[in-house]
Amino acid sequence: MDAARQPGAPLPERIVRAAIQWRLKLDVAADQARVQALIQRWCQQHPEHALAWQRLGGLQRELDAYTATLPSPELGIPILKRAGTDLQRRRALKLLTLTVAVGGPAGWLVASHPSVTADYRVATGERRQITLADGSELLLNSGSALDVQFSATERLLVLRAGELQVSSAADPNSLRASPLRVACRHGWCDSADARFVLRVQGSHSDLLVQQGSVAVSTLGGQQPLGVKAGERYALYPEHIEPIGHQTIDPSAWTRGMLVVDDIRLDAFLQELGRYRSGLIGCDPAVADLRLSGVFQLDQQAALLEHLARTLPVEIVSRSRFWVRVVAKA
Amino acid sequence: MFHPLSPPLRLLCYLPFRPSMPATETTSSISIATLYSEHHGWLFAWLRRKLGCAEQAADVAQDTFVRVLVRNQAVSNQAPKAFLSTIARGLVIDHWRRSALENAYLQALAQLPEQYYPSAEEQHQTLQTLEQIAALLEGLKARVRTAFLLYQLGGLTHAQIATQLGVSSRTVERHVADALFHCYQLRYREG
Repeated sequence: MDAARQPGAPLPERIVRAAIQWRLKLDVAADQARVQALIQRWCQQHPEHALAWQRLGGLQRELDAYTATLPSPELGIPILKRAGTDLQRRRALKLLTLTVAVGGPAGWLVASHPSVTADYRVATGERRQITLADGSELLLNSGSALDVQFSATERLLVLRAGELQVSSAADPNSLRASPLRVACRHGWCDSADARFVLRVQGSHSDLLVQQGSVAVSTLGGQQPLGVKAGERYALYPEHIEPIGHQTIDPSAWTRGMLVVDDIRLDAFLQELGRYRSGLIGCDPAVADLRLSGVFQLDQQAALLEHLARTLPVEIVSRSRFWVRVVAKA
Repeated sequence: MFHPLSPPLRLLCYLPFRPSMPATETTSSISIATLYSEHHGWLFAWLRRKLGCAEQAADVAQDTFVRVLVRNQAVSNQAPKAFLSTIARGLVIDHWRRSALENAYLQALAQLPEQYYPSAEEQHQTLQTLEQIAALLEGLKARVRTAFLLYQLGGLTHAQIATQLGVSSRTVERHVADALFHCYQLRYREG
């Protein structure tokens, strides 16, 4: 981490304000070298001056990185203005009646461990393979988001959205000797030397254990449940329940395939939508047609053609981003 | 959404909820399970009032507990309600900020011809950056925010901004300095 970003004793406001004034002076200075020299002299007067200047530089780099990422200021400025006004209005309307007294966080936090965090995002239509520091292998499905947090005492992954396959390694750090914990919004899975697939949905998450065993806990604190190879469970916030027959093979995507068995057409298209940019719609008149089959996820055009050949439907596409499946005329 | 179980089977499989009391629990810290069982109810009700939508309230309530889990820090039993509502309040504001930005962004995109339409990934990247900027500028007065956006994103001089906003150059300089100070405090306040 940037040394200037380390929290420490706050600097006096007047020093920070003075550093900002130097920053603005430098912006408009005709003679840059002269102002630079003056700033350098100011920084040498006191270590706090130098620290304020260094921190301000860190902030400026962050702001410049944001500016460089945006496609154009013509786009960003009006959006940020409008959204800012909207947010202020909502806060004023709805958060005034906060019913619970809120103070500083200091008293609540008993122990903390430094940790390393990394975030992974997978674009729509892609899969991503990741090898973690402990040797665990991950495969992230299309449209997934994952945070990785490893510390001296814990190995934690948080699946924020989407789906992943985990091949967990036994912890090579014998002092830590903790299982790999994969958390999602409904609960978490602890394992070492196991392979499983976890998918986050709206109300629950689906778990399929492929190899080894996984200890599953819910946020609501049910006793951990041991799930063995071949078993499937749905995690709800306060309970876990076995899953029966599934119309979509939950691990076929790890091989680049979509395998379905007697699935409704609308459910099939919804699943397909996870792998495509843009909209894919289904005419209600054909929604309850059923199909089974094995499809390649990276051959979507062929897949849609196949639908039109085998079912009484046709594909209407206004653009690459707008496709609708309707009844054959 | 894909639901593999029919409702009757789901009922059969329902496991009654029992809060667990791990041996490590002491008088000074609370397990996530206890925290959840004792506080999920009111937190959800509070969020539903704030958000006016049961589905969003359920989402934010879940995310609040995940946030506690991810903090990797023991929670003291001194003031768990205040602790949870502070986290939840931050998530609600994040949620509002994101939806305000998404709406404004989609309106801007709707005016683009299709060949200039960014890909889903570019849209995601842009929205994420907009969110980061918006979070940094949160709480600034509208005039100060606008002046700073024109300065930082637009690269305009103080004089140009002054003309656009109909104020003096001196006022613009004060706005930009105030905005920088606000961002500085957010980044470097005592941790």
